[in-house]
Amino acid sequence: MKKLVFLFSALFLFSCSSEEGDKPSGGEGGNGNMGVNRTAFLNAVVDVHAIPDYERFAMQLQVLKTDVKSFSDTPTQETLNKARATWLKTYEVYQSVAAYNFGLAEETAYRSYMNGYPTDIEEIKGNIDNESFTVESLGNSDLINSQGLPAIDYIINGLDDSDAIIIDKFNEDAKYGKHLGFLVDRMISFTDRILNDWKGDYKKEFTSNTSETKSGSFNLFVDRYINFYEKIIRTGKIGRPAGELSKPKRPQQIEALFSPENSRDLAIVAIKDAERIYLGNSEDEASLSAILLERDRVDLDLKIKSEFKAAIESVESLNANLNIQAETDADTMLATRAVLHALVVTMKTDLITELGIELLTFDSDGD
Amino acid sequence: MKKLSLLLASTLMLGFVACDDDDNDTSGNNKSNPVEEQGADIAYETPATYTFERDGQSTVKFSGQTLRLNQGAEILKDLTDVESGTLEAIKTKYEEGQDFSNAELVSSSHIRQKVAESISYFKDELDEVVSIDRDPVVEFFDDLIVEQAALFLDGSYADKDAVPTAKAGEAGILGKRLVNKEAIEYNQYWNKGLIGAFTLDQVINDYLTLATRNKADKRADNDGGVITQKNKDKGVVYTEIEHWWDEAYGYVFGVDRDADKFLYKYIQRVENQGFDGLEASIETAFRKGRAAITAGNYVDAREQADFLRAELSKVIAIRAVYYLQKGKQSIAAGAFDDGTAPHDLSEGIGFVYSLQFTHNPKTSAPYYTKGKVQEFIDELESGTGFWKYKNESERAKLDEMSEEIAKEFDFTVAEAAPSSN
Repeated sequence: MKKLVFLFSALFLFSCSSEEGDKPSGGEGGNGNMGVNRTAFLNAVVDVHAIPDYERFAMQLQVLKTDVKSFSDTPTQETLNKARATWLKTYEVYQSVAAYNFGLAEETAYRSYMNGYPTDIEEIKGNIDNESFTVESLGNSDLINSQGLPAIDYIINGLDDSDAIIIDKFNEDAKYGKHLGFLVDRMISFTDRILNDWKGDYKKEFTSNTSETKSGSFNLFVDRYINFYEKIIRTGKIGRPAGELSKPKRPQQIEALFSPENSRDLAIVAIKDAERIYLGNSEDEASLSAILLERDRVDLDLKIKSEFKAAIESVESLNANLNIQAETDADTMLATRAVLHALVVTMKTDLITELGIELLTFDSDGD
Repeated sequence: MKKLSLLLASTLMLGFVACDDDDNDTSGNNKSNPVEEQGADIAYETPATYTFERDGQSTVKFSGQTLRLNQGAEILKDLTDVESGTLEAIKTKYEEGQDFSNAELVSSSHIRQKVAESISYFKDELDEVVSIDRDPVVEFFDDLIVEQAALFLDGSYADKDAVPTAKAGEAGILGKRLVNKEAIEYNQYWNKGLIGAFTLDQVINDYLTLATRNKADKRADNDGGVITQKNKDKGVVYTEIEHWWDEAYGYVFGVDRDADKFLYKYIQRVENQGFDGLEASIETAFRKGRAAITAGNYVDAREQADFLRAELSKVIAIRAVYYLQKGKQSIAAGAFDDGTAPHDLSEGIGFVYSLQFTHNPKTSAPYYTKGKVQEFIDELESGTGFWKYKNESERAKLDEMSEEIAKEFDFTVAEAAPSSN
């Protein structure tokens, strides 16, 4: 049908021998498919989501730096509590940037450095004791499992069961505070690098690639978004600890292992972030939801919204401590995993068909 | 197949508009006063783009239109900014043109002064505003801001997540949509209502009227390429009539196609919902009319103006029907509590409000009287407002309304409605 229009416009273009080469102003653009305005969508991804989320995370890391330093300089129960609360807030804000695993973040494995878990306790201890250790040492990919938010979790929550002893350790030896500072500084410089890339060249590269093909940014974003929900949220936060796909359960492989009472809420925050990207933040954002509605797919939009709601409610029904949940009742957690998986299936079938998306990442876990 | 023939027809029409200069008869023209018209025999060329020059200097300028459209976009964001929006901040922007976060938008010029102030509908023979007509419209939009602020922007809620879920008779949030007790989004009502009361009214009832009405002195200046002293002082080289036409153009095409929140956005939407060729025909008519004006062919300029009046009015009518139908479909699909249907119907009620600013070139009056529009709105707002349409029997009213709107134009409800699944 589209070809036909082209044919006719071309016909008229040539038959108009008079003054007008009739070219509508701005007739080209991202409206190739009904309701899919790639330019508007990609701009919203950058301006409404990625950059503001990275900025929020970067700002939160500065707060973390301040509060961690206060604790290191003056280790008391009060400063420890403050550092912990800020760390948790930072972990929550981090969930939002985890969705943007492309561009420089993907090339540099940013996500693995920020939130690789389970963290390697022995390696962290070695790093703390290593007197020649500097912040640059954390750039070594061998140390990818001993840094980021999980490593900080270990140091402020997991050095000992007793807060008093953790505080004593910091009082007695400056190496703990010093290493904690390295960990935070490393996250700050790494995040700033990604943020600056977004604000600089990458924004243009990303938003200008409006191709309808699988190499276009729209296809890339949707692919990574689905992958984020599937691998990072469904499997990483719920399925793996519970033992999905008949694998052995791994209750230790949760976020915030050393303050596990936070693990469920981090998963909820992550799902809500994914939902926010789907719905769109701003009033008339060209979000995936808006695109479906514009394409008269209120049915599919409603299905996805309902499945997000069900996912959140199901995770909310779990024990706040996912380690305990997985240890004591993995079946309930597997049932939650199934609820999350329903949305994966919807996105990997209905959504990509509707939007003409080609999945870029193939997996072998039997979906 | 039906779609195909429609497509062919509009493609043919596009060719017609683009190729035929001498006998353009695509609109229902008001030719009742042929004696007044001048320059019918003057030949001219229409450029391929909206570019016009005098002595090597561009004569096209519509920065004021671009400014106000961008001001509107920022105010729209504020209207749903539960975290930091305030009544005072919005009023300062809307009523004074001050304190925009984008400093380039700060100006003594502001949107409120341009609401319902067109020469055709809101001014008398002396070009003085008739308050009794204009004031209710201005107050209507003022009130929407005040109501929205009272519900959501008075600091009661830290953010959107803190807003309680709305129920019939209770304002709140549905999905991500902030709604009043009738499930109406005031911000949408404001935005879509202003498409009629502000942009459409400015374009088809004010600037196109100014540019085409027969004032001997203005036409003499235009024919002679006379630049007023005021404009010379500003360093611009357009005639007054040329500039009026450009200001009409600017209210449609003054910001990027993706950035526009008013008329242009919905011209594109209508184009994409199956009215192929509409956007190009509107752009072409602006271009031809401007070329005609510069040449002094006021007959052709009038014809293009009338074509634009009819087509831009039709855009509003199509979109009104589209959203009423979409709202109906969304409710039938169960998508009310997630905010989808209330959002559709809120856009719909805004476009319905805008119908009173349409302009039928055959009658020089709106296609729908104010009274008729008020009847539609009363129906939409009656009882529990949009909530009542959860009841299937009530939804027949949406169809009746759609039919009444569509019958004024050459499209059917089915053509304007979203394709249902």
